[in-house]
Amino acid sequence: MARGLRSLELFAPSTQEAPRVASRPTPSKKQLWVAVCLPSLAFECLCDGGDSHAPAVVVEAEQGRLHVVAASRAAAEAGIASGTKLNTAMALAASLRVLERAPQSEQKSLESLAAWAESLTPTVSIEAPESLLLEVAGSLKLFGSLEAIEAKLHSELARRYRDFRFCAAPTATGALWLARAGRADVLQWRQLAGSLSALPLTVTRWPPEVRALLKDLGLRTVGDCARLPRDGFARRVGRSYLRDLDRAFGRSVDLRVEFKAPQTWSSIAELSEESVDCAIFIEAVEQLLDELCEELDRRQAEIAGLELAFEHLHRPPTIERFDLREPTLDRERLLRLIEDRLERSALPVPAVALRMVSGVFRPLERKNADLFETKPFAERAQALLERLQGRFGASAVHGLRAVCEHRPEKAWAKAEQCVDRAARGEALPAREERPLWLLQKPVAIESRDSLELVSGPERIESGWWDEQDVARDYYTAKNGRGQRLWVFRDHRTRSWFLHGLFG
Amino acid sequence: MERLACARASVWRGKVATAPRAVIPTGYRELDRALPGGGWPLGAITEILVDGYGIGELGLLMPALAALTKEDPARPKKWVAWIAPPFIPYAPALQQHGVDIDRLLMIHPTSSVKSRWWAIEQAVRSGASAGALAWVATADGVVLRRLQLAAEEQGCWLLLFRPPSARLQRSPAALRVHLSQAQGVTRVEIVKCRGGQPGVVHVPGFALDGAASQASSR
Repeated sequence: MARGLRSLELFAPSTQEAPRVASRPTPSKKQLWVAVCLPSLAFECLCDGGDSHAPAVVVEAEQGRLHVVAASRAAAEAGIASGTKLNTAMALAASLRVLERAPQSEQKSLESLAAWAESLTPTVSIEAPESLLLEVAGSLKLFGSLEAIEAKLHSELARRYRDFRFCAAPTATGALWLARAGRADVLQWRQLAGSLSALPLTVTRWPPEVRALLKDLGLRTVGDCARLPRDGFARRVGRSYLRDLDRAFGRSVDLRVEFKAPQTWSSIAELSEESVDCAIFIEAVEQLLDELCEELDRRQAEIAGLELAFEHLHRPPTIERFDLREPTLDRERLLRLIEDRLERSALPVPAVALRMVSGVFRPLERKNADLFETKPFAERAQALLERLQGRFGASAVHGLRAVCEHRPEKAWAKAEQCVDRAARGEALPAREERPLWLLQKPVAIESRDSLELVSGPERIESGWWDEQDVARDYYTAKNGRGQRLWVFRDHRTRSWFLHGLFG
Repeated sequence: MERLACARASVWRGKVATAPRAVIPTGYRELDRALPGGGWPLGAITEILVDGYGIGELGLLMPALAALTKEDPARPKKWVAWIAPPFIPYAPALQQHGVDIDRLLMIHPTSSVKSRWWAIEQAVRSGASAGALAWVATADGVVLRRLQLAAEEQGCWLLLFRPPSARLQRSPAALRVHLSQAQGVTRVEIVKCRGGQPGVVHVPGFALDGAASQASSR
């Protein structure tokens, strides 16, 4: 009795710092959240598939004590629940298998699910340690109805996990609490308060001492807490718990950290045995590319490069880089590129596994297809350049450019061959005739007797500014074999050189 | 009788040209007349058997290459690939001949024969080349046949420069010509010509401006 009085006094309104009550729900009424709850995620991450009948528990150390995080069905039947101390659990089930929790693999599993869930809605957030929140109001039109979304979610969850629950509600926290309790969807705002009120306090995941305090005060459900005077609750229990309540009932904005799927992808293919065989590598590469392209397709992204690492035993991996001129998500194109390279290069030692790491994902740019031409020129040209440069190196493929310069060897230049090049300033063609073939370097002519000079001379001189001064008289000459040659005589050395062929 | 023959495509009708083929005029009247369709056959291999360089083997092709690289709304924009040229194709001279050098793609494969053929096949098969010029010494029939098919498929004018000794080998090329130089004119001997007749044509050596006339005046 005394205790009850005390608590009444504690909850009595006080003058100082009364948290504001939002009279009506402030968040957008258009939101609809689906919370996914995976109660035995910790367990499933550790023993995939083999659900033996032997009782097993996953334990985690907290404040120096081991306690159960998740229990198998057999263990649960023996009375072991989440939160049970390990000693108690051991006493309850004789042949108990104890597993240590693997938070990293849990996180990974959730992230992979979240990445998949991005196909349902762009707003996905991970609610550690075992829940996921999806905001689906914006996707209702695309999928037709909430049932359609939930059907997709159900089939994917069933594929991945044995034990799962999900529930839709207008607020994120509300959906989460309802899902933890395994309640039915709440779609109407007016039903929300009623549904939440009936939930036991365990769904809130508030710390045990807070729950114990509330229990001592005779509060059993969420509704009991919500009915209390606000400032008293905030003072006695904690402001953050009041905020949780407000969020669940939609009285304050509920902001969530949005999940962003990683912008790269990597996967590994183990080979059945050590190998240097190209055919085996190609097989593994195809398998990896299948995965990669599926991921790219789902994410509507493309990549501009990837890395293939051959893992060896007792040696650092051999890494091959593939750079693309244009980003792509075309599996065939990537495969051809890799095949070309693998066929040529031999590994120093056998590899045991292949790891593929994609370049950074870029948002896919959609191009309009031509009605008649199957592939536009630009695409074919890019693919050609890529393959040639991939095999012979970037400098082995180039275009030509004319340069305004009087010295013949400098009147041309290599140009990077771009597919769509804007018209550039053109060098004026020389007035005098030039040969179609130019020699890499002028070649000294031993004897000029066999040459018949046909026309010339054309004097080409100077170039002191870059220390490649020339002083030459160019002639067109003919030899006995009917070749027309471009020769010059150097003024300084008085010797003859062949510089080109008229072709 | 004529109608009967027309109705049945399988009836062999002597010398009448079977199907109009895509050609590109050579730029030389005599040569156009000697070739079926009136020009170099597009979508096929043309083999140029030539002994050494600098006897007008490129000059002979210049009018056609100029036409091929010219902006033409009827023809999609494409490249002309040069695979393993023996010297530097000299940009100012190409411009003088009216070739659009922006459309040229130089490919220098590694020295192995295999990689050279690979590069040729890529250039043809990609569908990005309207023409391809390649310098090769040896070839085997299988590779040539494959290239011929690829050229047909992509409508690519594939020019192979080969030594005269290749004349003795069989080849699926649509046209084989042997070039030689004689007294300032280029002698073009048509060795093999699909849908036409072998023969010899003389074209003025070095079509460009007065060079040839200068030569003869001296």
